[in-house]
Amino acid sequence: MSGIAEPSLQAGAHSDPSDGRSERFRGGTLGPAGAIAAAVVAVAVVAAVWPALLGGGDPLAVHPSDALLAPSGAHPFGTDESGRDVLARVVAGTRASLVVGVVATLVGGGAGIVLGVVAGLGGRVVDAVVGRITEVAFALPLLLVALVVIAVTGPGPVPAMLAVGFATAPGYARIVRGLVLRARTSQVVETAVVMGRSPARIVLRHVLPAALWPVVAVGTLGIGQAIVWASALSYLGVGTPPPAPEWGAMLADGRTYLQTAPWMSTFPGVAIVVLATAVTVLGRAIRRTGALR
Amino acid sequence: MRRGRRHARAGWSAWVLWGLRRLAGGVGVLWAVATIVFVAIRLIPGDPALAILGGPGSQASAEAVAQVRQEYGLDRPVLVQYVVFLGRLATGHLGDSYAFRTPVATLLGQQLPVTLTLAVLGLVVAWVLAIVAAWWSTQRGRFAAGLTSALSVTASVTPHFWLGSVLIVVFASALGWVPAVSDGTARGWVLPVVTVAVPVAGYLAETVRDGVVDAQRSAFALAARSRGETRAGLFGRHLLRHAALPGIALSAWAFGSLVSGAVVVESVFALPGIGRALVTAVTQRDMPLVAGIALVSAAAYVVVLAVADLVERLVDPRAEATRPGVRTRRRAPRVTGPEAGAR
Repeated sequence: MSGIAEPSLQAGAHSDPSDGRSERFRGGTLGPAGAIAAAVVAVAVVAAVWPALLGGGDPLAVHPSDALLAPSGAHPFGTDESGRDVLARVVAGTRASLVVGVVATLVGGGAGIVLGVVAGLGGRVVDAVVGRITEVAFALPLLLVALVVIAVTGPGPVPAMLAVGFATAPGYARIVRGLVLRARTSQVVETAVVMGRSPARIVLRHVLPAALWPVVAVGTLGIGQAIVWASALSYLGVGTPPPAPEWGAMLADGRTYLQTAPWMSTFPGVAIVVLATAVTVLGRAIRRTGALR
Repeated sequence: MRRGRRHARAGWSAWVLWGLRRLAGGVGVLWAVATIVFVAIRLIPGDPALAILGGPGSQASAEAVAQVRQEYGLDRPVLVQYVVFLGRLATGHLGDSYAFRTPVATLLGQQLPVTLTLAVLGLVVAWVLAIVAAWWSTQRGRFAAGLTSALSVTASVTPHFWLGSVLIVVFASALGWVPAVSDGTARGWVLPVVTVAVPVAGYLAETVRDGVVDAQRSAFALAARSRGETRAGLFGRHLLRHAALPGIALSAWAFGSLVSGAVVVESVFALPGIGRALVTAVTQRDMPLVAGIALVSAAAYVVVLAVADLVERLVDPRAEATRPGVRTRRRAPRVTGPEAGAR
């Protein structure tokens, strides 16, 4: 749709214009904000791989006698209505969120790359058809697309990943198409054509790499969003079902106890915001360093 | 371009042409959405006749299934069903909801005003917040700039459902200023509207701020200052006007994002809008209702896009030089936020 902001080409083409100081970080360092974000993401990865290291007990262990305890030394984040330790559940939920964020972005980015490359290389008619498809997808709110996918597949964690992935694919497709079109008319490709290289080789060696790295850069920003939307699906009851430790599902759970046990909602919510912010800030910092250009 | 100038001189006929193009594009989008929904309904595993009768667990008799099949035309070829489906849509028949047994149009008539109010008020509040943030981050020194930037990134990834819960705990439970569950009064709208607005405001703030920073370096800013324009006057009359353009282009996207937000926020605040209806319809696989909501959302998006285009033309005198309906943006709207990846 013509009025949608065109993220195309901005992606990898420039240093982040939102920060006038970006030039200073060109050398490859992340900058202070990026470093903090990297540290947060590192902690999250540790929590995902080895939850026990961060004081996670059993996230599913039920102790009815300890139900709805306020945060204390024994339970730093308090307990929920079944006496499960909220800290353990927040730590255990990191894996679900990171996996969903990364897988959904891979699905979205992968589908976007396929669509974008097909549109960029397929000639006029194909380009127009793919263009129309993405336009229509843009006309539907992201969560609506995700919910329609889930209406077809039925609820669950894997459908949630696919749903968020498909819902984000048109955005990536648009970016890839722009990059492929630009790469196609670049001197490198023209030279390769003149040199008589095979089309397959040209696409693999010159066109795809030109489109791929900017999308990886944009994708790092997309992971934060994917985490938020996937947890929204769980909150709405169509993603990861309870009692699995998932932040969105925990928030849905804590809704009933918002007045009496606000810690049940506070900590998973903070976890989503902190992780999504950290991934986003890290994505921008990486983009600024130019490592993925 | 040359053709465009000729049309611009033609005056109102250019606007008629613009309107027709918009209309044709909108109808095309709606047709495609209807087709997608039709295919999606066919993709659902299981017998649609059973779904109509209340799912596989309903133990409907064979006669009832056969009757429903005939009633809904499910015994006819898929292509015929598709044509009938489109024909009914074209004449304004969205069908009956499987779960509620009432026409989808009636349900939408009740629920749509709630969601539209939420989205439109949310867009207004998001713009106000974004402009305030742009002022802070460009006119109040480095510390304010850093703080606003950090806040806008955080705001843009704050989940609605959590923000809503926090606002309820603070402003409804602890302070008692506003009701926790929407009660239809103006005060009841405050928390839901703020909740949908904040994440969108985060994106808009960054776009507008970038535009202002850009405009500050331009010659017209210096010229205005040297004419004795105050800081506030420069910001309000010159910089903002320049910076608002990419933001307005982003507003159509923002509206979609607000509708996504409304789906969640309506659940948090128990608002009877189409978002909450959509979640129920999805869990019950009530496809006519899902289809109706998808079509209405797409239609709303098409309208908002046209309005954004119109506003852009009114704000930007340069746009008058070209034919309406053709994008001749001097510079692409800058999208620096995470929405660059995830719209």
